[in-house]
Amino acid sequence: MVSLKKFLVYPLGFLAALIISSIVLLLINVDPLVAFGAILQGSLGTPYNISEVFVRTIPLLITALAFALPYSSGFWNIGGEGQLYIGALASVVLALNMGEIPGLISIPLIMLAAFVAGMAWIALPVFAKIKLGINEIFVTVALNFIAILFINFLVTGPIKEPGNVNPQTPVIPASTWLLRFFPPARIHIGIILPFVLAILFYLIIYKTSLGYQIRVSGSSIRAANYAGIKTSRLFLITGLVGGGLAGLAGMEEILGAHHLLIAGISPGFAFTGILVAVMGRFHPLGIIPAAIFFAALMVGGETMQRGANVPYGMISVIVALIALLVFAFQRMGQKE
Amino acid sequence: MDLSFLSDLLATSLTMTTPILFAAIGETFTERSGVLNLGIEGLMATGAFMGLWFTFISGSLWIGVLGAIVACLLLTLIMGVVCIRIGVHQVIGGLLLLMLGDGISRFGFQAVTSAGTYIRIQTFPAIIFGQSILVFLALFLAVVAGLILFKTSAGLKIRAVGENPRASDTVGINVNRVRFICLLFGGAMAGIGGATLTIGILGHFGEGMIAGRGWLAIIVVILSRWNPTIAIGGSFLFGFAYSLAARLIVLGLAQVSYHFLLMLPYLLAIITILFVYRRARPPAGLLIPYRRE
Repeated sequence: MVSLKKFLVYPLGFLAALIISSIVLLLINVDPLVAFGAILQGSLGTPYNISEVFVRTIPLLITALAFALPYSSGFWNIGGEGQLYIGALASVVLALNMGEIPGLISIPLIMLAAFVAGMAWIALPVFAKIKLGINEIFVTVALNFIAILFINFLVTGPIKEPGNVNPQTPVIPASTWLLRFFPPARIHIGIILPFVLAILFYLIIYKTSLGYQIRVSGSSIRAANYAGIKTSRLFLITGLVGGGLAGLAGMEEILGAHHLLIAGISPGFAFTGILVAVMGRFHPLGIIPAAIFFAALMVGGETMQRGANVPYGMISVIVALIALLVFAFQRMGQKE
Repeated sequence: MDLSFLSDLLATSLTMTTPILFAAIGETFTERSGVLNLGIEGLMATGAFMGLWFTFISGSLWIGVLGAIVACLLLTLIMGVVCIRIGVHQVIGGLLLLMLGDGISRFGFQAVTSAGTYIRIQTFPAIIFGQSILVFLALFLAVVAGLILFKTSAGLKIRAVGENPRASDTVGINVNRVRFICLLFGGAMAGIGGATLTIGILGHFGEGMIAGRGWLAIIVVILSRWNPTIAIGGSFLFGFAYSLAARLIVLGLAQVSYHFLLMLPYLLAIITILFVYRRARPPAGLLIPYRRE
C-alpha cells in the first residue's frame, strides 16, 4: 500500500493547487470553470494543440534531466537556461555555416556541437567547485544572465538577419530541419530524443555501479567519502553531461521548433524544468509525466489567456504551486 | 570625464545600491539563523509589483511599502512551513518560492494591464543629495541590524541557532521559532527591496525587472561575511556596476553594445564569488533542518 500512498500526493497536490488558483481567479472576477475549461480545451482540444504539448514537452523533459542528473550526485545546476541558450547558439551558427550537406551528416554534427557548447558553458562552475570548493549555485545563475544578454547582443547585431526588424537570425537550411510528422503541426522527430535520454538516465543511475556511486554521493557526500568514492569525479561527469543535455534542449528548439534563433527563444524552460524534476522526484518515471503535464498547462495557458482573458502569468503560479504542494506532501508522507 | 559625471555616477550608484541592500540585510539574518533563502529574487519581484499596486490603489507610498511587506511575509510563510516545519530541502524550497514569487508578480502585472491600466506613479521624492528617504532608511537599517546582530542578546540567540542549533536548544532557545522569525524578516526586507525599485526609483513595473538583483543580494551576504553593516559596501559594489552600465549606455558608447554593458554586474558577481567564496565561512548550521531527538 506504500506505493499507493506515494502516488496519492499527486492528486492531492494538484487538487490543493486547483483550489488555491480558483480562489485567485475568483478574486479577479474570472469563473474558474471557464479558465480551467480553456486550459483543457487549449491543451487537448485539437490535434494541433496536442502536437504543441509534445513540442513543449521536449525542452522541459531534457532540461529536467539536465537538472536531475547533476542533482543525483549533489551538484546544483541552476544554469540550464544559459546552457540551453548557448546550445541553441551553437546549433544555429553551425546550421547556417556548414553549407548544403545532407541532414544525416549535418544534424548529428549539430547535436554534438550543441552538447559540447552546453558542456562548455557549465565548465567554469564545475571546475570552480571541484578545484576551489566554490558553490556552483551562484556561478551557474550568473552565467544564465550572461548567456541571455550575449544572445541578445548577437541577434540584434552580428548574426541578425539583414533587413529584418525583429531580433532574429536567418532561417536555417531546410536540410537541417528535424522531420515534422504532420505539418503544419510542429511535432517532429526530435520528440524521440528526450525519451531516449530519460531511459538512459534511468539505466545509468539505477543499473550501473557509476550510478550507484552517484546516488551515494547525492544522498550524503560524507558517506561517499567514507566509502572511498571520489565525489569530485562524479561532479565532473554529471555536471558536464547535465550542461550538455541543456545544450541539446537548445538544439531541439532550433532544429525542431523554430528553425532560427530569436531573442528570448526560451520562456524559462530550464526553470520550469527544475520544477518538473522536483515534481517527478528526480526519477525518469516521475519526470516524464510531469513534463507532459506542465507542457499541457503551458499550451493550455495560452488559450486561457486568449479565450477566458486570464493572464498567462497564472500558469507560472499554478505550476509553482503544484510543484511546491506535491513536494511538501511527499516530504510529510516520508516523515510518518 | 568631468566632475558632474562622477558625482552623477556615485549618486545613481547609491540609488541602485538600495534595493540590493534591503534584501541583503534581511538575508543576512535568515542565513545567520541557519536558513538559506534562495527565493529572494522572486520575493523582490512580488514586492516590486505589490508595492506599486498598493501605492496606486491607496495613493500612499508608505501603504505601498506595507503592501509589499505583507505580500512577501505571506509568501515567506509558505517557505517557512515547507522548509522549517516539514523539512523540505532549503535549496528546493527557495527555488520553488522564487518561481512562485516571480509568477505572482507577472500574473498581477498582466491582470492589471489587461484590465487597461498601465500604472505609473510619482516615486518617493528626493530629500537630500538627490536620494529618497528609502536610501537613508536602508543605510540606517544596515547599521542598526549590525548592532542587533552583534551587540544584543537577541542577536546572540540568532547566531547561536545558526552555529549550533542543538546547543541552543539545550539552553532553552526555541530553534525553529527563531529561524522562522528570521526567515520572515528576510522575506519582508526582500519585499521592501523590490518595492524600492518600483516606488522608490522607477515609478512603474516591468516583467523580469529584478534581473538578478535578488541573487546579487545573496552574493552580497557572502561577500560581507554575514555582516549587515558591511553589506553596505558589498551592495554598493553592485549598485555601482548597474549604475556604470546605465551611465555608459546614456553616454552612447554604442561601439560596445549595451547588452555587453548590462553583463557587468553578473561578471562582477562571478569574479567576486571566485575570489571570495573560498575564504568565506557560512554559519555551521546553514541548510541543516533542525529536529529534536
